[in-house]
Amino acid sequence: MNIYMENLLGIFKIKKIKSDIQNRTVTLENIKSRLIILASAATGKHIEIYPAEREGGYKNNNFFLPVSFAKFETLEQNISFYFFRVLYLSIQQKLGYNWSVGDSFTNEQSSQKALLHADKILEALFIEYPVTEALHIEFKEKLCRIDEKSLQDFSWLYGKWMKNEKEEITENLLKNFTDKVKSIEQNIAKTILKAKPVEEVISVEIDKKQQEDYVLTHNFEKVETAEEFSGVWRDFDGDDELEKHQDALDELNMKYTVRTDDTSHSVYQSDFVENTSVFESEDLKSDLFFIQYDEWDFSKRLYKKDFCKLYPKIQKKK
Amino acid sequence: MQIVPPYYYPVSKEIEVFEKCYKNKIPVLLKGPTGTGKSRFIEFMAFQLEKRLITISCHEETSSTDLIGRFIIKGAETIWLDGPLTIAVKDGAIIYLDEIAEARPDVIVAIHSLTDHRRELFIDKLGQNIKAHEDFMLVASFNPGYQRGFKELKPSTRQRFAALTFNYPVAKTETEILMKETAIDESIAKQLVSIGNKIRNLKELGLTETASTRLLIDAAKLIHSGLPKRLAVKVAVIEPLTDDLEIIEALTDLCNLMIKYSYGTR
Ligand SMILES: Nc1ncnc2c1ncn2[C@@H]1O[C@H](COP(=O)(O)OP(=O)(O)OP(=O)(O)O)[C@@H](O)[C@H]1O
Ligand SMILES: [Mg+2]
Repeated sequence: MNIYMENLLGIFKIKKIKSDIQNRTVTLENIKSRLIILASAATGKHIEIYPAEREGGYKNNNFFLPVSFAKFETLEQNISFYFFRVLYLSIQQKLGYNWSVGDSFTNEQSSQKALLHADKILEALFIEYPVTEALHIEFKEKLCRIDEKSLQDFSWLYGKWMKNEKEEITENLLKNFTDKVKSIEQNIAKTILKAKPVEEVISVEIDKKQQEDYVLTHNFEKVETAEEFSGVWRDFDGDDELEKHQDALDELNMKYTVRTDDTSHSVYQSDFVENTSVFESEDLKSDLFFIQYDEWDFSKRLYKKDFCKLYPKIQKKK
Repeated sequence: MQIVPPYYYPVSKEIEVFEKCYKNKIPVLLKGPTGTGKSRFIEFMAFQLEKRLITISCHEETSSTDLIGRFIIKGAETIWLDGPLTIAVKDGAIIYLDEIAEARPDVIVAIHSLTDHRRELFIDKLGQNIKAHEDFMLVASFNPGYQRGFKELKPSTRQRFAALTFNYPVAKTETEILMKETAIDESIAKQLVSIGNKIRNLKELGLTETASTRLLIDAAKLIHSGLPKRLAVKVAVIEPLTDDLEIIEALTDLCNLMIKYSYGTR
């Protein structure tokens, strides 16, 4: 009986810890719109916010922040952590502490640089936002307590340096999207899974023919390549295998992508949307007839003029 | 009784411009968002020039009758009563038509002959033309911001005025104004101005008007009379700007990061 009770208590304890963490966890998704307003007010620029691989930093007008945060004891503190980071990045951006276009560097160097310049940023930060001084002391002390033995890791507070990108990106504009994509009528993505966010997308240019040959002969252990999805499982029994593959996919880094003009049948979505204009279609020319209309941008509370293109197709009889 | 001159802090060359316009009796249009000192400026100028100022706040129902005058019945007879514009024209006062674009079109028609070389007012109900007094001058204000689209002034009206644009003053000037107006500490004034400028950064939120000098002054007054700073900013600056809960929350975050928590004025 006693043992049974103890076990039960043990379970409760674990459950309690779990829900404690849950209660104090802040997810970026939930406070993103608040943070965007804060960041835009702080900088006077239009700032976008994206999930970071870990501690994050900034690139041009894009701030990268942890996907979720629960290191501190209360929800308020964890929210304040995000506020702190946004304001910190706004000052860092103003001072221009970041890698520039030509630089090459390791992850370690990026963290070192961030640590090295922290004092200067903090100095300006405390003047402009007096409340951050107390927050900084509080956070630093808490982080010390958490990582007592291991090396003190303040990267959560100071982030890492990232590389600014050249502003003009017109060259990259969807040149790999041909009219074939727009005119496809049947293949509709059925499943969208969320992958871990990446801070950078490197597009690998490939020879399509060569790649097709390659796919025919090779299989990855856990994940079939996107190319191989074509027609394989769709319509079998209405079952969509991609869902089952999620765990495997989570281990996959979506940093490297291949652009292709095949429409996807399932979409493996990584949270990368930085420099959105790269993927925007608004000023892409097309020979096909299309209708343009505005898109409502919720976070900015504005319409994006003629943002969407609709390519009408005459419906065929069955 | 001692007369206190209205306080006005010149932001640019507006005083000189106005003086020269007055000399030449060129009508002046004051443009700019709410709370940027347009009304204060004209009060100040009238005081400086030692002229009487008659202010009319125009609204959708303001008609030429309200400005020019009307017959009223008194006992057995009807008598004519001059409206404020007619009084100004006769006595040589400065008339200030606040928010002129709000007024009904017949008001605009009525002032046309006053604002060109004729300088005369036609009173249709009496069938009279009155020549304006030498000192008479017409000043109007217009807020291009929120009238965009539906209430515009016609070019034929606009071109009868010399125009001065009012905007939020630079931080140093605005701090000065806050201190003078409310006797608040410099450090608090600076903080409020800094908050104001951060909010003004948010052009994309769809606020019709952003944090004006007037709102900052209100906050400063509340703080000066002992309201906690965060609360003062919330009620005097943030809440008047918007009813959108999300924006209120974000702006409150911003202010709470810029103002240390306090009970008193310190
Ligand atoms: N340059 C300035 N010097 C002194 N006070 C100023 C100045 N600018 C603004 N103010 C202050 O701002 C307050 C609002 O100004 P005012 O009432 O003149 O605004 P306005 O431009 O007439 O606004 P509205 O369009 O809403 O009528 C004034 O009461 C005054 O305290
Ligand atoms: Mg006014």
